[in-house]
Amino acid sequence: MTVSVELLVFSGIQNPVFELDPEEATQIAAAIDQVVGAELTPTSQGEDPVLGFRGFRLSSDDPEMSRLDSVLVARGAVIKTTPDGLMRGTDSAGCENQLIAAARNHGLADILHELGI
Amino acid sequence: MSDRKAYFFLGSNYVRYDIVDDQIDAGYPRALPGGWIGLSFSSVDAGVNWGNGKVYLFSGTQYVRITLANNNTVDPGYPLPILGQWGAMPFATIDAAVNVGNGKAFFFQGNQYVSYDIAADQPDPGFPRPIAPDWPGVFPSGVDAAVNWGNGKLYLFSGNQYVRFDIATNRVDDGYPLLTASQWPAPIAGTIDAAMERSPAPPTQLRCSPVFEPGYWNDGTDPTKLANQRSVQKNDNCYNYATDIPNRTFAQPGQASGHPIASLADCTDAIAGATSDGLTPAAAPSCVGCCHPVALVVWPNRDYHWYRLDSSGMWSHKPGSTPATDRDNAGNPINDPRTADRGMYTQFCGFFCMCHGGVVRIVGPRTP
Repeated sequence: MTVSVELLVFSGIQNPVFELDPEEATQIAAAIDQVVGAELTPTSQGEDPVLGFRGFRLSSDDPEMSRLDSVLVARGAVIKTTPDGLMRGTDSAGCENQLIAAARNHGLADILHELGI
Repeated sequence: MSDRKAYFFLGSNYVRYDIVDDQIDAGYPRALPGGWIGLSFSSVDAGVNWGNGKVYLFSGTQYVRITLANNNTVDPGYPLPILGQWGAMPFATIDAAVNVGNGKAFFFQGNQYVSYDIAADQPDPGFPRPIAPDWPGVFPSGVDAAVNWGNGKLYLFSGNQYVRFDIATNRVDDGYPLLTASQWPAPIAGTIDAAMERSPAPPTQLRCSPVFEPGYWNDGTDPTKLANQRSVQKNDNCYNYATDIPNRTFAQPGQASGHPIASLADCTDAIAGATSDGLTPAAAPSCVGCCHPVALVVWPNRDYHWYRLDSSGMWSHKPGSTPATDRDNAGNPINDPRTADRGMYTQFCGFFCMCHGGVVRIVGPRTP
């Protein structure tokens, strides 16, 4: 199972991207399932237009993980792209914290530290 | 005979010139003051049409303001000394002046010039600057007279020569300089000391500056565009936005012109890349010609970011794949990117002019 995570942080150059280990992917998928399985509300706001840390975007071409594709985790929320538009759920399962820990494990500790995260 | 006129001042005489017919009106030259009621100058060094029904004439260290609609009459209280009346204008005398129609007027003295913000009634910061690097092809040692012809062209005179300057491309047209005495359509005898259009130049700012249109750029919530990777928002970055060239490549300064950024330790490589692409460094957020100002900042050792000045007179930007916005990190409108809340992008690198036709192509790592 391949799940890529984009750290949404840069403006000019491309954002850093890393792949979750299978164990990380399983845990984060479970956390996101928990949020997405609860009630979601429509939202018009995706990525926040600010300079600096803006969250994480997941992508996967693995059929088993397709539900994670185009999921945005930011601002204490999980935002999923659906055919009806963006749907938002509160990140009650700690998805963002898990992704921050994963980013640290995948060589992005320095930039997160610089951002005060 | 048309109603589109220019004036040329030569010593103690002046002529009125018909722009459409390209000839000197009958009855000219005339001796000063001629039809300029209340004018005490025996010669004129520079003249400029301010675009509000007023023109200014300069002679030595003094100037007068004239109301065109009042039979070309000098306003009460004039003449006044130049120094102290034009904000922080550093010149005590003026060789030439011209209003280019985008809210800026330019004053020339010796081998230097000043960009003047008409609305703020102040010279722009960072001036005076030498003529040579900013006015390619124009007489680097000095300009005697300048006039806006109202068709996107300026004529600038020096000694017995003149050049035609294209505002849109920010350069002198091919084939110039020419001789004023023999090659101007209606030969003008003598050295031109000053020139000035009677009809104000049409505004170029609205034509040349981008409009803040977040709807076009902000399609990031459109599932169809996201699914087929055609989202402008997701695939165009701050450089695409600032240059107003959306091409879905996440464009990088210098990538298209063979000078990609190798280091982001500071501004150096990003400036070199942008300059290589055709952007022109500028001392202030003002550009001559059909251009719009942009600004570059750097998050040292990490990233760069661009802002652009819109036709509204306010700045906007697009942080990476996010929506375009006219707000800074604190949520405030952006009057000046130097003082905006820029988060980690602490290093201000400078202003540039993005001239239409000056930047041919920008590209990035993504497939258009």
